[in-house]
Amino acid sequence: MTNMNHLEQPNIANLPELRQIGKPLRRIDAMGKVTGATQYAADYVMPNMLHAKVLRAQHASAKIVRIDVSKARALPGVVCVLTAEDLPGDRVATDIPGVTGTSKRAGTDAPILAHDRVRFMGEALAVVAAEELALAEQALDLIEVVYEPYPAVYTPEEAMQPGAPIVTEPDNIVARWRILKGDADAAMRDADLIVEGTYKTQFIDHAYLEPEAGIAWVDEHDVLTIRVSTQVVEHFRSIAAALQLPQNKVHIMGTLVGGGFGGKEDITVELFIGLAALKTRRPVKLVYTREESILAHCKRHPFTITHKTGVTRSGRILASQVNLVADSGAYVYLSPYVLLYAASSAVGPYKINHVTINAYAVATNNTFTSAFRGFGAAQACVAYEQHMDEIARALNMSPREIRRLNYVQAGDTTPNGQAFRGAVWLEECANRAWDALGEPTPPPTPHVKIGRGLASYMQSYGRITWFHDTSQAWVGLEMDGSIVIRCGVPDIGGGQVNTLAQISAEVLGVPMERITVYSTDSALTPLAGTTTATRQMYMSGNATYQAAMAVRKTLAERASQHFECEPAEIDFADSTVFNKNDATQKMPLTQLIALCAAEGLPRANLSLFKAPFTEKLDPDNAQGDIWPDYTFGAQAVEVAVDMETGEVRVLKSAACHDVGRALNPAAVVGQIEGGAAQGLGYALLEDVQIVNGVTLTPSFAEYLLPTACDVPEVKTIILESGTGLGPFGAKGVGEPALTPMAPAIANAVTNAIGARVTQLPLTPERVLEAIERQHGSA
Amino acid sequence: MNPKLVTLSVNHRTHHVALNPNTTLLSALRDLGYTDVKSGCEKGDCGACTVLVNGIAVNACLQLAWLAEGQDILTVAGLGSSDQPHPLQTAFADFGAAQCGFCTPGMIMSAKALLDERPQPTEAEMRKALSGNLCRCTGYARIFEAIEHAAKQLNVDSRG
Amino acid sequence: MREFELLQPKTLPDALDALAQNDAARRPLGGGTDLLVDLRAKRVQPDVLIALQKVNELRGVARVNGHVRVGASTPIAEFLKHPLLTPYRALHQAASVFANPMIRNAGTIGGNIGSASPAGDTLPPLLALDAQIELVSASGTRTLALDDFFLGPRKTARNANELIYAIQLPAKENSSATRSCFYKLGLRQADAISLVSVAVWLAREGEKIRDVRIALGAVAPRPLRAKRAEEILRGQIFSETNLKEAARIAAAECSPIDDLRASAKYRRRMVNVYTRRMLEQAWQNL
Repeated sequence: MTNMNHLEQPNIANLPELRQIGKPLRRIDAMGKVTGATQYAADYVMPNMLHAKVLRAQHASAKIVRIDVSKARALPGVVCVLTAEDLPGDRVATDIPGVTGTSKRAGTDAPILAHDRVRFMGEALAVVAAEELALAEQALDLIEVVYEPYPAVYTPEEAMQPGAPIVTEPDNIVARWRILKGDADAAMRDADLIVEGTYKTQFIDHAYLEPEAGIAWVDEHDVLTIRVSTQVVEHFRSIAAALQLPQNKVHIMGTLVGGGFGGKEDITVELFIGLAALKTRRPVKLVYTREESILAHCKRHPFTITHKTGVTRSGRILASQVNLVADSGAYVYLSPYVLLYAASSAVGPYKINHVTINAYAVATNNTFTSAFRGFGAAQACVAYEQHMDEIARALNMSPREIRRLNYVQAGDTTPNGQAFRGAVWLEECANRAWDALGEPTPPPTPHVKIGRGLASYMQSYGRITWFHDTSQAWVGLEMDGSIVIRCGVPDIGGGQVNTLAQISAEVLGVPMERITVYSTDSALTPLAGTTTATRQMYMSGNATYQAAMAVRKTLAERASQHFECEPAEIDFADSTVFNKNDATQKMPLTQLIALCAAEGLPRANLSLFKAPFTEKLDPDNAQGDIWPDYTFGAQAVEVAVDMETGEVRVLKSAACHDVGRALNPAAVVGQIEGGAAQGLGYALLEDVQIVNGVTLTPSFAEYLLPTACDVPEVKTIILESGTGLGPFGAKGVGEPALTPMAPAIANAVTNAIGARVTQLPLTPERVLEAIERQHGSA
Repeated sequence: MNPKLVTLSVNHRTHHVALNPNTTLLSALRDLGYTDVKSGCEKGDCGACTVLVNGIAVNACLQLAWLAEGQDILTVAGLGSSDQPHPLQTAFADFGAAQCGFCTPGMIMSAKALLDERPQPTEAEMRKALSGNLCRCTGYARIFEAIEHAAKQLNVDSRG
Repeated sequence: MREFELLQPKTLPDALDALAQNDAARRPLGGGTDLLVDLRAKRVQPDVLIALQKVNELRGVARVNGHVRVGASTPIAEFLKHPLLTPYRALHQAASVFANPMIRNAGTIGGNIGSASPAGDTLPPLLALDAQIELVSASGTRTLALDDFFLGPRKTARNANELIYAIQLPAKENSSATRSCFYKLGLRQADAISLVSVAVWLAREGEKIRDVRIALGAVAPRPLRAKRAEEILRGQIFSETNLKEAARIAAAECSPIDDLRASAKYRRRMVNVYTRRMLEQAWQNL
């Protein structure tokens, strides 16, 4: 089903030969997962443990007149009931500077437990800890909350109007970015044709199969210890601030995460169980139900994106004006940055000299929105790639041709003025993906039409460069030649930990099965930063590479003394060290380790990797560098549309991404196929319907994920330009894998029916409406 | 509501355990330490808790534990271990069919039920058999490949 | 989940005895695939559950007095594999797309009928096939047309002291001159709740439609026979004009609602499209 195609050899100066990198090796976490031995956060129990439940608001916008917990407290078996009154500090910082050029706004942090007002349905009001889960559930029913309705606003458009109910002071606009390059107004006047379009995306749930879970206790050193499913162990600092503890008195022990996708990037259960553990001095466990997860954790931002593009008759884009409005929901969280990602990639991977981009994130009484795989750039791609097809239609040009004419090339710049420094293989990716669809499928019946669609994308990997991102890893050889890696990276299923093992295996010539990785612990593993922003392979991969190379250097020098040769002649493979120019000179790795140990030479190294550091953007026009680098690629799909019913089936899917270097091709293919399936859900099925603040899709019976019957046959083509900033020239592909799928499907549907549905998801009903608009009612 | 001493046979081990009538098989199994049976939705929408009861794949969240008395329950931990994995487990590991791994135990049990009934399933049969097991990470393609491979392996093994 | 007593009778008389006690809210428990979901959501709060799993009299498929009789506790999956049921194509098709494999393994035909969801997958084909339902209580059994069993959303003609015993499928309805078929329009390719489902049964006589039954799911408070549409076709030539008119009438006969999955308007349109398509399909296969 999958075609792994390697184009180019990587550009690796430091190692003579690659033996393990580039191989689809079995992941070191695989056997634990397939035998059920892997423990996830909800699987842990502790002696004397309590079970927690969270009371959640029944109103989307209301004043809290009174919360009476006396009956709940009186229930035998209930050990504590906590409300905002019991909090040492009552807020957790979520807001971050997001209005171009200004810094954090006061009063926008989210309460841990609401005290005077609720701003979305599902907001936390109280935490109960009880001897049994059933008792905790029962206690929730005994808490009496008196609400007084407060004016509400449910769409960003309404929330931006003067006089709208205020969710976030002063005007509901929680973030704004304005990017100016050249003179779009003037250039628009030179255009032969102006193409306009508005594209809308919906709320999306991460829908990881593992609901949020954790267990907290106060240990014998008075350290609040929280074992939790999280993408960010560094939250120990915000938790300490919120609970008014010293930072060294909070310890996060991450677990293997049963899916993250950005949804476990913000704090989830940590503060609730942390509070209850501090209060009761007993271990406290909290596992969200699926309904609670869908109701109360962040969603992907819905966006309304309007494009106005000036083009020449020959297809060159002269100017672009883009307006983006995102629904940030009731609290700010990561909205400013999601908005920045969307704004700065709003015109896509196209060379346009005159660009004006205005972007707003607006507070409403909907569930709050924050990170989701693609982080704004995915929403931007939904719009710019549909719009490219609309430009092509207006010019009577093929989708591939309009893109080919306008793709950025190496050395060109983004609307922010950041240059693309590595390879830009956009056209190659698009052609490969398109061609991989093969012969068109004949329509099975007269009422079915077949359509094909393409989408290209650019997506950053690595964090915003003015965050001054770093990661640390420790790599050490044991006396028996086995390797220990310590690195704070949370593994959210993408193989983050395995990548570190595979890099060390390569550098030190040790088989994978002789490597153990300790990870995701804020106290016991060197901090490696968040598993977000497609950064761990790049950041922690480089930190691990540096550490392993430092160990290798020491060993190689000692071996070269032993063999009386140059260090550069020394190589490591299969737990043996040898002179690659003289087959007689070799010894077991253990022997070399013993030599080093006898002389007190280090066999371990702690290394810190620094991403490029830049200054903040120019406040007037948002000019400046934002990311270390970009990944590029394309997705092509073929769909069948029933012209009488609007039903859409994706028949074929082909993705082609330049991943720089596939460290583990099986893992890369897995990311790409999985991302494409999420993109399919985004395009066709998934929609957290929040109407007047009420979530109408509370479970997986209403919130529909693609099943095994919904995903098409897939072809995955990996290109390796070798120009990535990761180890061995790799680029990140975790988020990029998702980004182009939804617009590719939208374009294919338009190709089939001759009309466009501008609102995701493309439900049969919306598709049929578009068909009827175009062709008249049947 | 009185608890009752129930005898559960799980992975060929016998447990005598006092359970309330409203205890689901899922929570009974997890409380007994079979945490390889995952809880993803508690209403039969996701398949993470799939186990075999007398060889038939069911959602443990939709069974009452009392009613499982006297039946043979098999979970993924009973299918094999890292020392002696079942060919499905080996194939899932080798083909990258487990990413985050949370759906994997249920997915493997559904695959086991399929191969028990149809040793050489078509792709359509495979898709249908897995359609109650949601996976959010893989896009299913690696899972299909792993099952195809395991089916071949099992057919070779059964021919001796 | 709320507390309840759980009884596990081993015989039908014991089950009926248990049900006949009226000291508390009692409910029969079949495969549990609906009931456990409702219990967890606190939509139902019975004091006593009577598990029917061990009552052998309620399970199995057999030919009885010229019809095929399916015990209420027969799981959908078992039913799907049974050779006696293969000829009832509409029902077979509905069973094969019923929820997902695990739900088919546990969920029973009696449970699907008893739940009486307007969107229950097996209900339109059973109506189209003119199934009868047997109800049993301590005082005896009664049989009624399935069409008379459904009263409204989740409301049926079953008395509190009765169990669904079996369904009966008429054998004569399944001769070589008849054909049935079914389609479920859902929002995804598997494990979908129907937006609209249509089951059709046709008997052919030369170029004429000797008899026809059309049943619709998810477009009315209960699964619905489109009887006026049937009238248009009964005894008539199989023609495009007749088909179109019947489909139009069927769409007019239903009373769908707007919900999160689709609008009433769309559902009505789809009743029109799929009624026509199912009639064509059934005819073409004859």
